[in-house]
Amino acid sequence: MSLLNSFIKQSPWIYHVHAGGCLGCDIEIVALMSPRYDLERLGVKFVASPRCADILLVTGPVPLHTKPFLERVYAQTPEPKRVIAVGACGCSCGIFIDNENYSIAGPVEKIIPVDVKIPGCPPKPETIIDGILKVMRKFDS
Amino acid sequence: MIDAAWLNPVIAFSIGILLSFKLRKISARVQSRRGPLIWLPDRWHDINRSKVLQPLYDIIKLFSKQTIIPSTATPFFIAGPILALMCAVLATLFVPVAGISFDYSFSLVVLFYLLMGEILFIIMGGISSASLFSAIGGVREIDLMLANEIPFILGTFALAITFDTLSIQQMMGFNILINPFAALAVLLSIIVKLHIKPFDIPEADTEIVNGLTTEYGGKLLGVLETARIIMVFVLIALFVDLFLWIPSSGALAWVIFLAGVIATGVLIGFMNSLFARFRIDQATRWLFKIPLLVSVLAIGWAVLWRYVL
Repeated sequence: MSLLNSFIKQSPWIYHVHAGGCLGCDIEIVALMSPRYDLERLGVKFVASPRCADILLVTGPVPLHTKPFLERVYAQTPEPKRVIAVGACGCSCGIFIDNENYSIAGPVEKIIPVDVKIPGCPPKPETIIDGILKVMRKFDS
Repeated sequence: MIDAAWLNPVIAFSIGILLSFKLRKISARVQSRRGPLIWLPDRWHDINRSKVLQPLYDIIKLFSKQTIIPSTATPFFIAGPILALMCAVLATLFVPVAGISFDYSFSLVVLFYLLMGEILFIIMGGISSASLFSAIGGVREIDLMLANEIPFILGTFALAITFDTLSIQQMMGFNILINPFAALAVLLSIIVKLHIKPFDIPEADTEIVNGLTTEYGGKLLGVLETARIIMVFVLIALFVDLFLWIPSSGALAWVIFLAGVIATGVLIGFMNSLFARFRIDQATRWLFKIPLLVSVLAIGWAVLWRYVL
């Protein structure tokens, strides 16, 4: 099984889930495929459908009305899969951390299992690349 | 005695992987990115050392993943990609690789049916998933196919008129000088068949998620990717055989063949990265205007040289 997982390490396809963020993190994620940080060097590809994805990149604090969609996207991703929570909102709900907030379903962790958290508001592209490398190496274990 | 042409699918797959890598690399370099690296730096050696075989890694990874089949899908959902792969593999047997292939007096017609069948089976598999995106992708694919098959068939039949045969082996040659219009018409229709950039409408991932392959994942997507990689090789090799081939044998044949494949691949790679996407109505109108005109000219040119002069 670890041999098969090492092939996932060599070509991780990433699906970017936007779960109610402010688009700050999303712009930093778009920068990952720009000339400066080009992630395709490592064989990473951003795909348009969760059915092809290996890694889910979730941004935002997951509002109540986005929660069922996030669960569905997670269920649609074929095993083996890993999840990265990007940004302060993804890790801990950020400024929406108040427990009495009526519209937030909690951080990503509460809804689907998260493997790597990338803090920052927004995190720098270098940080996101580091997180993606970490999750790629996690496919081994 | 086993015919050497049985090796064609293996050769097609291996050269197809390198061609797909080249397409990705050219697209990245035009956008001033690096693309998949040929040598990775030391700190990433635990991930991989070289990314030249990146399309192969993608396929192996897809085959090692779980396959999800939607509850709304019919059995054609599974049959479609497998039949498409069979058509693609069979098509490689009829395309001469360095002059080696199965050859009958009607092999061009067989190749037409196999190339058309590959696309039709992908459409069949895609639309039987009952996904709306797949349905839109399928309609666009059929639109393109209707507009595109005419220049392709007319362009290759112009050569058939010149050489008075339907066998691919007998019409091979440096025919780009004999009939430049046919070469242009066939090149344009190859671009459409491969979904190169001005015509990537059926799988436009910014509009309709992945088009026909939206619901595919895991092993079935791996089968589709394999078929796509083989098709890249088959169509480029067909163009090289019909228009850029210089009759020769042995090692020289391989040199000429590979040089032609690389030249055509680079040309198609630059087209892929330099153009923006057509809308479906623009694409069909353009296909009914310019390639059709060029292919009719090609037929006229061939008839003129064959029967009149």
